[in-house]
Amino acid sequence: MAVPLLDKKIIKKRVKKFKRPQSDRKISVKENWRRPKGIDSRVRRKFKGVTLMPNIGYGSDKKTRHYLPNGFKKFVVHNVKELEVLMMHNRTYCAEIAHNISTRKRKEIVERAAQLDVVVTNKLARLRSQEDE
Amino acid sequence: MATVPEALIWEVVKRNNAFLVKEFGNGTQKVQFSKEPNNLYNVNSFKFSGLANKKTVTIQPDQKEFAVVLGTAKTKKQNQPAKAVHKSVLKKEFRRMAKAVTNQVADNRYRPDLKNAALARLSAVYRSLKVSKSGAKKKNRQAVRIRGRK
Repeated sequence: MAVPLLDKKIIKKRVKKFKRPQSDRKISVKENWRRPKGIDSRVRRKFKGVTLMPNIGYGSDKKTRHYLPNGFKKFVVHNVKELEVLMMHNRTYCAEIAHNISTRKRKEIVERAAQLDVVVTNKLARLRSQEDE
Repeated sequence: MATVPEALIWEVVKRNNAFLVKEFGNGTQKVQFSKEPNNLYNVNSFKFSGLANKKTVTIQPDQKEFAVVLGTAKTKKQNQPAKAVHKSVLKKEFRRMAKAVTNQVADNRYRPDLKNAALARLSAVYRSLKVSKSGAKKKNRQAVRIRGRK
């Protein structure tokens, strides 16, 4: 079993979304973040008790950035050939089979991944049709 | 590649080539791997590049015979790609395979800088062969979420 090399704990400083101020007032103002630009805006001037604005300080530690909760980084794989590339990186990267790959090829990829000791995140996908056979 | 200097080929080839696998754009999440057979670590770098270097080392599994194929490029056959690789099939036990690899890569001054990479790849290939021989055990080869890992 491939054990991830990462030994740092992955900390997300904030997991809630930043909502656009006043998006609760009008339907036309969506929740997707837009920076307030008005000259009088309380949010822009960072008054106490107003909506928080995203800034670079919320970024993740470089050492754990882009890591999945399982301790690996993700690499999308379309065929066995691309999976082989991960042979020497099986402790930092895990494979994810692309969404449009057929069941037959998925089987091949999962089998080869087991030989190469590469973790596959979605190895159980499309399994039901296999059982029906 | 005939008489063109290695560094020049690398400059030409490093940004795009048929073997390059790029993912996640150009941000911090970018990864660049290389699918070349003679790239020991499968990374896109001058040191490991199989296109740019005259001397390269290949370590590949031979699925039919459960053997490891060790190949080194011949510098004088650059114009004849079919003949360019000096291949040797390793079927012995692991220690003797490792000996053979160090002999052919480092001890004869071929590419001493690739010695550790070659050995690492050898053990990865050998392990994959062992698994394919005995059949993957369904349980132990997959990701288990480790709780309490720091």
